[in-house]
Amino acid sequence: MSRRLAISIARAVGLMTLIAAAAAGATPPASRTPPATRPITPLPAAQVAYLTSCGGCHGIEGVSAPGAVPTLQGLTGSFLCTREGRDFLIRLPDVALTPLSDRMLTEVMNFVVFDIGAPVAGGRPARPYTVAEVARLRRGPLTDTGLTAYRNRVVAGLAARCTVPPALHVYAARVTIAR
Amino acid sequence: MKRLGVDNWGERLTRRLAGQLSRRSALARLGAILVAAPAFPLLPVQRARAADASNATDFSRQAQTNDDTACNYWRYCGIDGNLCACCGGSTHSCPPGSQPSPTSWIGSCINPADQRSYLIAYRDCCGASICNKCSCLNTDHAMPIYRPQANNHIIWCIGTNTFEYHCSMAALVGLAE
Repeated sequence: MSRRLAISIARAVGLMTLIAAAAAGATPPASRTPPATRPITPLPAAQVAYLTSCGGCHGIEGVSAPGAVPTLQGLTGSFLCTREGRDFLIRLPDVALTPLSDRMLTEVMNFVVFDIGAPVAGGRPARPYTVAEVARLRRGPLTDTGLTAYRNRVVAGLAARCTVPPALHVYAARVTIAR
Repeated sequence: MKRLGVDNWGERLTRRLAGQLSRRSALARLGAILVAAPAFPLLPVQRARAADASNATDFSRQAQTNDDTACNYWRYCGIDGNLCACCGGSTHSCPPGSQPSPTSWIGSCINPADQRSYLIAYRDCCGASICNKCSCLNTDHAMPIYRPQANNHIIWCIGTNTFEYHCSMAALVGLAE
């Protein structure tokens, strides 16, 4: 390396240090404020979508107000036991008509079924939902069906083929509200 | 063939540079410029746009992180009601004599300290008469009543023994992105 080039590089490095210092001084104060919270890992996208689309009522971990809102924790996986049960979850009106893309809804429902509610033994093997399957099923939402009666039939079908948790038989008990 | 003015000008410039500069010097300077350029602060307009995160809202630009009894505290970006922090409770605990509702609606707010989006559960405290202090109405991510899952005007006491509204909390659920 020629001496002249070495000097040029040394100058350039010195100049850059100065510039970097000036730039740091010119940065808006907001970005220099230390974060108020410790660095935490962002939640997976499917869990964020679950929380903002479902978790308010159903609970952050799938349990909220048994009786008023169906419990998901430990129960939703049972529906994969039969074809009818598997289809039922996607055709529920607030699942089928939710403003999420087919792909995100698929991820959310796999989270609801496998992470929040464990699949049970017996019946059909618990395969994850596919995007194509969810896209097809959500076109037939259960909007003109007596939902409680329909659910009771689906659950009876599940109980006939798999060992389901007793709590699955309780959909939404009568809610008494004193205003 | 007649030469264009630009050609002549370009030739003069190139010849002058070639006569005055060594190749190595030119390369060294060009390299220094290339390496140093990103360190220069951008023009003010560009800086302002960069500081204004794409998901910023009118609320988040005015929000603060110090006083949770003020309506512009960052977690209150979608709250509608009386702040529990003004009523003897906090952003995540109910005042004595009231009970937290198991149901809530979950929105998200930007923390001005790190410009990241956090999930916030707007959970009401129920079972005591209305607190009536620090009444706030912010609407980030809140939806009209025909989308009740994300409506902040509902009395979110579903699942408690009573629908008597006392105040609203804004509990941190997690980091969204």
